[in-house]
Amino acid sequence: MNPVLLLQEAAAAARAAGAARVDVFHRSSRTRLLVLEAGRQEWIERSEEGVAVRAWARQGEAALAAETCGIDPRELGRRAALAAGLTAPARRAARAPVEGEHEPVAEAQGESPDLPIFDPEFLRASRKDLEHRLRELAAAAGVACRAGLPRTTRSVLRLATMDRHLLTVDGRRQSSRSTLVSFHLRFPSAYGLSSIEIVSRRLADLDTAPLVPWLAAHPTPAASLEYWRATPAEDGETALTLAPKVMASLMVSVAARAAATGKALAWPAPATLRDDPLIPWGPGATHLDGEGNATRAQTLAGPGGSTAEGAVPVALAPLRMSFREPPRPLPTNLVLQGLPSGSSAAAASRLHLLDVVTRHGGWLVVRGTRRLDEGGDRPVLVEIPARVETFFSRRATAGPSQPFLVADAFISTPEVTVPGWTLQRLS
Amino acid sequence: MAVTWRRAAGRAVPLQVYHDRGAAIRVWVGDELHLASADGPAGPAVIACLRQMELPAVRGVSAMGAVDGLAAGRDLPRARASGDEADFLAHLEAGLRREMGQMSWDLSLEDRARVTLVADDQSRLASESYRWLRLRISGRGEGGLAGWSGGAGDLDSLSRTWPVARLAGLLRRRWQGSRVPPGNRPRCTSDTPVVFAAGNGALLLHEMIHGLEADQQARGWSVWPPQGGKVSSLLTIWDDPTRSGLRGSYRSDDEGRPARRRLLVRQGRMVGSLGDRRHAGGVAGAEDGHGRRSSRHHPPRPRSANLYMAAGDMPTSAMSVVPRPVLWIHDLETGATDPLTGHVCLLVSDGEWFQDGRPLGPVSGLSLQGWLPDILARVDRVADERTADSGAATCGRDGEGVPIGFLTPAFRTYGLTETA
Repeated sequence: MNPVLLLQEAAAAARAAGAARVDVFHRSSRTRLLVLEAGRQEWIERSEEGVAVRAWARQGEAALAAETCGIDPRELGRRAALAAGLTAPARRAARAPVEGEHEPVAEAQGESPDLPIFDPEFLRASRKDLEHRLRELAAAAGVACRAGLPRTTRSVLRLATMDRHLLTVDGRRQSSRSTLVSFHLRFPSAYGLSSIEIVSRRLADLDTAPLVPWLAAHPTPAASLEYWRATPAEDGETALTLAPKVMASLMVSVAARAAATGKALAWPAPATLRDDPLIPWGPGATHLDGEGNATRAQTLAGPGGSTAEGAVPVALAPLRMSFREPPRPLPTNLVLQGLPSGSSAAAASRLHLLDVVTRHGGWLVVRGTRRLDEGGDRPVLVEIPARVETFFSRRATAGPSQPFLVADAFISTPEVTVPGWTLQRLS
Repeated sequence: MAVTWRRAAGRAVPLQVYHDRGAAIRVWVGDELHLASADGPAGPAVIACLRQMELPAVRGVSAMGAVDGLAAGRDLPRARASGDEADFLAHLEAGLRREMGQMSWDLSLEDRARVTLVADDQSRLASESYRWLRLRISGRGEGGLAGWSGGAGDLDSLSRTWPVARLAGLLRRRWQGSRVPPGNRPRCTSDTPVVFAAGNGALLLHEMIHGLEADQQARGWSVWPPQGGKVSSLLTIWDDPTRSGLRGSYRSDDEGRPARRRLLVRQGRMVGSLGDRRHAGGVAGAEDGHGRRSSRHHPPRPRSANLYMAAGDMPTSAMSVVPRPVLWIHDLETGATDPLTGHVCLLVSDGEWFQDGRPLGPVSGLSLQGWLPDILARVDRVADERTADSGAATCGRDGEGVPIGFLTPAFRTYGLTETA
């Protein structure tokens, strides 16, 4: 069924069933995954399509009815209105005319800045092209990895093309098409099962070069698995390098805290953390949020945080991760910028933290490698505070490597080095 | 199909209704696996899958569809509720207010039903229907938090198993535990005796099972050696999807194979792994009805269903009678394991300290870590009675979740260290 007709019919049915306000969201996507493992290939082709109707009773919260495509949209609309009414019988007043009910659906409105998020190369890429590209990426990663990648490495190239249509509560209709490609690598290393994923809107932009320092820090699995057993703590100061994967975890919690408090956070560093949905080709780029309103860039944290004029307000855009869930405030593209350049290469001992194992309370359990002045290194497991301010107060600098995007959070952050750090605990 | 009811801040929140249909086809061409999946009614979805595939020669085929209305004798949840579910939540909230005073509560009840049909190239056809209710409770008040989730096959069982007084008791303990500063309680070190409660405490054993999944073993991504690892001789563990009443039960797996009990550990020696159709050739006897998928959009993989453990001979109440602090873990919020190294992290949502059998105080939000081969080798006591878990456990692997259950006794071990 034509998605536009589907939106209109579902909205009309929900209103006819008594909903005061309605929005309808339709999303279809095609995902192609090519998996390469131990010389074997897997092809996975997913075609997903669904529609969601949110219906409000005269006041109060919205009920959501969602459906993979194939249902009668009128039935879905009625179901949403029913769900809204069922649990709020007191609000089901005699039906009065609803504003906009009889107005024709308007054409796409809202700001439409020149925001490229669709790569037509996706549609032209053949299976052979994708096989070639994946083998190229895996080979480049293998060269970067100090130990070389073992045969059991699993690499995945994922291409998704997505169409979305939205009929907003005030009758505007919006449509967009976007693409997203990612390369995911999982391999056994001295640290256990390690994995990394990079992401881009364009097939040609997917590049393993920014991963080189991260991969190069992985010794062979044979180096030692014994470090998981308890080892005594080593006292004394060490230089700390936080890989983008670790920084991403810290930044996500900064974004969440800023969103929860509704204002930008202050921190003791010249750096700024921004959420910018309008970065051309940004993996999280979108000029309209999940409710059809224009998005904007905003500062989530910075030196001094709130300005002298008062608190800088923060309100993350409500986004729809899927048609199955209502929109919720989420970051789009997070960017950490402005840290002065520096390096801890000269330090006598250095701890390079590569992966977050788990988070608990105010701590992160992180794994990485400890390089001692007499040469050689060994895997370590340490705890670090979950608050990035702790590191920024120690004259943190941006490392020399390129920032890379951490796929699950769409964060661009450099490696961060802290010149002197006393370990809290080693296990 | 899933319907979710919710009450927050003392009032009902509108429903969420989700209806999902679709199909998937899996095909082998030589060694190459192809999976196509599509949403929508089964017929058009199957055609959409075939269109995506463009295949010249096919070795084996299996198709899976989720079609509503075909489950004999089992109803799908209704969007138009009878009112029972909303009433249940209202009654529960009133009871919690009565028992625990002025805390703010957020309750939700999800009714999820699924019907799966699987056909394969050997003309086998299997159908499976599944329905489970899941209750989530979170409360906040006076500097503390309390959360819990559990489930059952229907509303009557849920009410019967989890009466308000029982829920209030364990929520009160969690709330009190969350208010205890870390400095005011004993600290868990590698030599502290730790008792994992019957049922929910089996999450630790579940973490061991990840290393016994046939695909992980075939890759060599398991801390357990292929010829079979060794743990404490007090442990006998098996996986059995066939017993009803647990959240991970089914009659046939997502590859249409009949569910089978699978012995994994016999008196401390690992004797089996969990298999699926694909890995049956790689590991002897591996195809045993444990091929599971979180949705049609993912290929089936060997996964656990219901984990069972043989009872021992010690009365449960005697497990904490030790002249030094013992950490009793009633429930875990989450666990994570690196299958290659066996490093495990656990987050305790409901724990209690004992000494000489006397309670020293509750604890929650505690994070523990250790090395699985060490922890499981040091099990020195197993209780004589078994209990089912609370019915809300989900096994997550690579972002794919499948429901699981436990029926296990309490057991005591060492080797876990508090991380902060």
